[in-house]
Amino acid sequence: MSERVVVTGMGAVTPLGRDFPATWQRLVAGEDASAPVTLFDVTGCRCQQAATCLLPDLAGFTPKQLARLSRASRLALPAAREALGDAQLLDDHGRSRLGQLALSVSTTGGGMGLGEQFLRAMLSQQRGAGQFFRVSRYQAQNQVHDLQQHLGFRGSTTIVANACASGANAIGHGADLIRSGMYDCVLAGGYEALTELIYVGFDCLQAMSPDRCRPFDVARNGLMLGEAAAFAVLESESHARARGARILCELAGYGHGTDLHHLTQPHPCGTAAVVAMRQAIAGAGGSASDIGYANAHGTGTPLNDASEGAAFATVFGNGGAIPSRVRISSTKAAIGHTLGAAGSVEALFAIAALQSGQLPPNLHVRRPEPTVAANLVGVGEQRTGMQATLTVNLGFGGSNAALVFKRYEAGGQRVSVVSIPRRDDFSPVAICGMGTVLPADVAQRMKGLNEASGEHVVRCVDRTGDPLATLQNEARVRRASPITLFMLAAAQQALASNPALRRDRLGIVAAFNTGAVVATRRFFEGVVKNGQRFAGPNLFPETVFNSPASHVAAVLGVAGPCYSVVGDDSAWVNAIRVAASWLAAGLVDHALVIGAVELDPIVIDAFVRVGWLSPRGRTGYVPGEGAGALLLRRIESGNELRIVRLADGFTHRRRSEALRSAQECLAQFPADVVCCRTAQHNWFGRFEEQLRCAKSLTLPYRGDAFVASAAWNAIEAAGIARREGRRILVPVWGVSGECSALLLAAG
Amino acid sequence: MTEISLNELKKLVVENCVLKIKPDEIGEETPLFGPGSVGLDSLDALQLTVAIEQQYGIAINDAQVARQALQSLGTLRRWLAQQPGPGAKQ
Repeated sequence: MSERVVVTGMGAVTPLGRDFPATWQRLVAGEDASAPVTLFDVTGCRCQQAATCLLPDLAGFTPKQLARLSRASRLALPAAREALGDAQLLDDHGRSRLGQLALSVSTTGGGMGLGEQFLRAMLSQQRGAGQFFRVSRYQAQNQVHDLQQHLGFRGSTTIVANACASGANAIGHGADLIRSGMYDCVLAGGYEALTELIYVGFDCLQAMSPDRCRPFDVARNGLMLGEAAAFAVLESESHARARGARILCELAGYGHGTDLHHLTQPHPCGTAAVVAMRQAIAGAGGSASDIGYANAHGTGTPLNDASEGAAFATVFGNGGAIPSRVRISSTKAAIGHTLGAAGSVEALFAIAALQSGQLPPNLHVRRPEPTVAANLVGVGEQRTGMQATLTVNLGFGGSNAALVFKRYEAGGQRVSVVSIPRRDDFSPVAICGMGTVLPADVAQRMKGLNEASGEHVVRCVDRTGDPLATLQNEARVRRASPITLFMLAAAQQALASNPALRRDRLGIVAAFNTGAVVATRRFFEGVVKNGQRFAGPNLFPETVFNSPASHVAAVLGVAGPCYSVVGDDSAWVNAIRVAASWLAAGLVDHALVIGAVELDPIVIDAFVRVGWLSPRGRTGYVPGEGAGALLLRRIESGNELRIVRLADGFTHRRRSEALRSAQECLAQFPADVVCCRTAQHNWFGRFEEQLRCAKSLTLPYRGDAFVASAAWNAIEAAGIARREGRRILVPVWGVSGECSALLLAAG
Repeated sequence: MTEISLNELKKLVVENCVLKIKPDEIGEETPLFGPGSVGLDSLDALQLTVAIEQQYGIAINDAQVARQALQSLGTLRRWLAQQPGPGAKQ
């Protein structure tokens, strides 16, 4: 039986406070943080309000260090540090006592504010020196690196980008990692910094309230955006008790599912939310009657709150009235919808309610939605003796997630661990299907948006031939970025050899770097050229990281678990770890892991600014695009093709440290295995020459396509391993700073 | 305002809604939404209101008006013809 997961620390930065206690005090007092937006110009928008944060001071940081941090990192760092401090895991210098600490993090925009500045500069033909900084610091892995560098730890990282449900997914996944035996301690949470792209996106969808956000009011007319960061320290019970930690509560249940109804609209009955809540409640070993308080997603949009109310009625009232003892509130009228952070912040509210008996109120309701009218929490309400609380989130793309927290009781068994155990168990998984979408054999040329970037050789997918030409006629994907078609084609190929596979027992993990960059560039280019008022509502949902994966899930009919995992090339290995944890837990019978990349002119600008492409000639580096997919299941025999071991989280901050990280990563594997050479044309290539390996194998070069290249390399090596019945090590060198590797075996 | 040609509206719908059909395949009275329609959804409706405001300077700020005007290309053409002119607001 797997171990219990407990929460031992919490930290948050929100529009109501620079730490969690300040936030909680103002939240339960009924304050709201809505204010005019001043972070960027919104004069062209229909709405002007949001809930933004006052940035906490970062003691000990030099001005130069502070200048290198994105707003996202300025939010995430103090929240993570507070959580570690609350768990007594910080030393006197404010650094983690655990040198190895796994991270499960969520965001939707990462440091997109910097990305927007880069895109604006490229469109206006600027050549300033700040572009390198902007383009190399905006992606989500950079905020993770900031956490690791400034809090002094390394380790495996999963960045979940499941839109508005991500924060709950990140915490739930942290618990999965502990339950599966991979880690004993995980720092889990989410962050989101408000940016123009996101604000204008919600504005053009007319999803924001022009006056006041009123969740669960019959006259509600939209949401209020916010920004925040929130983290929790999760531990196995034995780890926490062995070190004498103060245990706040048990994270007892986690559920998640995918709503296939529409990209931006929930099913009217809230079916996926019902699945997520029931799964979380069942995982906690109890029933719906145990839940005393539920923190609702409650965005304040007409469709969300109606759907969620219906889901609550199904879960708590069996389709009838919800018993009045179940107290429900949305806290989004107070702190706004904080997107990638929402699920994490709201999880902390559910924990604090369980601990204190104080309940966060549902503000600004004049006429409540009938389904929850008897349940909405008023200001000053208290409830003592609750055994469990719940939080639920419904996201773009149909991502739904729920968490259940229970009062911690030590139970009968004594945990007498003298030393803290250290684990990195990975249950081998079998590969039972593979699919690739490769670039066309003939190289093409692509220009950047900025004239100074020049024209460069690229390896693009032929989007006019089959299967892509046929797939684009699917109604669900007509607006989608090309990456969706790449993923779908690769997934269908991987599934082809398993026609009898049960789709209701299939999960999807997509690995991305820049995701749907074509849609993102087109959307923001429209904002810059035509003005905020004429931003494209058709395009904005396609810019969201999990849109491609949710399209794939909808076309394949997969309503189960679906994650979008982001990062550098190593996101591919992180994604395989997610799939392995689902398979080990019996959550699914099969898992599709898909790595995909698409090219766009703005990518050319980015590669020129970071020096991988030269406007004056060739560097040997060729940008590529495409997708690769593995279909995984649990091991059935000792002879099948399988991933027997993986290693990730060997991070480095400077290029001078990359060789050491790569060596540390490879040292996790037997010295006598064949090791692939995978980095012929990026700067890792020269390190590969210096790496210890008994025998090397050079894989074909199809252009550099990050996670897609990592997928192609794994698939190529898997084919060789199966044909020759031997073990092959496939390294994945993440150019943003993470080294990882997979060991394949057959026979 | 001056009457807008059907072909111009067909092109506007196909381009803005990223439809995989030729403009001529949409009839004047073919429903844009719902069963037996071109297959547009709520995101397309929003996109069309933005495109109409950008192209003709006529804002549709009322959801009920949008629903009625966007039933088909014919209803849209007639509704646009009744509007005072570019730049006029409802």
